[in-house]
Amino acid sequence: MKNEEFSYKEMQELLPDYTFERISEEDRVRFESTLPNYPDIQKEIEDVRAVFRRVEKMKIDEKINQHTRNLTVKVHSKMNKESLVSPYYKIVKYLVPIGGLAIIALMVFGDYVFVPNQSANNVSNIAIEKPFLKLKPGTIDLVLDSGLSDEEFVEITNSIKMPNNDNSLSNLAEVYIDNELSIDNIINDIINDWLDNDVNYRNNMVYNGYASVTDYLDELPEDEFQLLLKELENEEIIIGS
Amino acid sequence: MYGATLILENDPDIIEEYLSGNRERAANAFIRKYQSFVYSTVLRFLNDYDDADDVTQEVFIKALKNIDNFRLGSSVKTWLYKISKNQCINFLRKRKLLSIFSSSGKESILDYKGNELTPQEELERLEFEQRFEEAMQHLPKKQRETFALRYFEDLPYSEISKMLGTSEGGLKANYFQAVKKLAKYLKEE
Repeated sequence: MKNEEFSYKEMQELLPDYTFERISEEDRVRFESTLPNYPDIQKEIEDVRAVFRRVEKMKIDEKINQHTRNLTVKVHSKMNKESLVSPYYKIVKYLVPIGGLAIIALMVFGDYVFVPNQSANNVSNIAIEKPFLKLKPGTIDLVLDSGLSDEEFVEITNSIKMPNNDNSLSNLAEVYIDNELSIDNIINDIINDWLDNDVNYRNNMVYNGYASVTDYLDELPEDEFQLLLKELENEEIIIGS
Repeated sequence: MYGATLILENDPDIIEEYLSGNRERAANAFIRKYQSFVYSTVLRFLNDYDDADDVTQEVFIKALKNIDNFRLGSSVKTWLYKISKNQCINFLRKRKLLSIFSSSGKESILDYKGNELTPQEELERLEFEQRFEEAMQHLPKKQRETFALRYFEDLPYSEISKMLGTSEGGLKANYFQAVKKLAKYLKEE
């Protein structure tokens, strides 16, 4: 058995356990042998004992027992209720709020999801994808297809931004639709129109000795012209930057 | 000899019985063994008897549902303490939200019906209990928990250390401070 005395700090730490008699026999002996050295600790023990004598009488256990009476029955009853809840209810419990949020999101952002931007002056926002048509922000990719309806063509041409703010494309579209011309005719003339009116582009072209692309195309045999059109179908035509 | 088979007392036996299928008997033994500990723990967090009743039930339901995850050899009290604390935190969050819409009539400690004491003694006892509750609420959280787990639950420092994540030396200091403050508060009143 150790007979060394406790330090002041150790005495403080052991004070509650000593006062409430929850200290080992060995520590109790050492504590009591050290106690005369610290009168303030002795006084503290007296104060704590006086107060906690009343705490001991509080009958806290009795109160807890009163509140935990029939706890087993309550727990089983609650567990049974929970097990009776349909698994679908648990799914619905999460689906309802998610569905609600989805509806709200659609109400707020629905326009952006379902309606393509049709602004004629804001090509960068166009992002329409169809089998016959693909427009990318800042550029125009026309994939030729004879299934393009008149309304769709007008809509597209109206939204295409031509170089130098030229509106010839949309004008052309209206003209050709009015005359019930084929899509091939439209594309052919559109190309000519671009080449004839865009000086920079024309200067960089090789016309094989012809005065203009129009002249060159006019002189082309029908089979070669059709071949050119075929090739154009596979080409990406980019206007603007 | 027969007692071992009739009365479930040891945690491994209770858990084994529960997992083997005799759930009701094992659950009853488990709840009876720890109901006082769980209820008093929950009550300290919520400071309301009715709320503590409900949350205590939730703690046991959660514990029984997850009992197969409990590692035998570790302390059931430590495990239950963690579940109790989490359930109380969840409950307090919900109550905070609901308090916007309604005000609850809490059972006062004065509602507790006493026993054979005279009316005067009963009144003094109730007043002292109320003061003690106030004194407990004035303690820092760590000191309050250390005091309750050591004084009321009589848990060893090693187990409290696991529950609260504090060194045993720190717990002893907390316990001393808590006892000193409570004695001072209750003496002054």
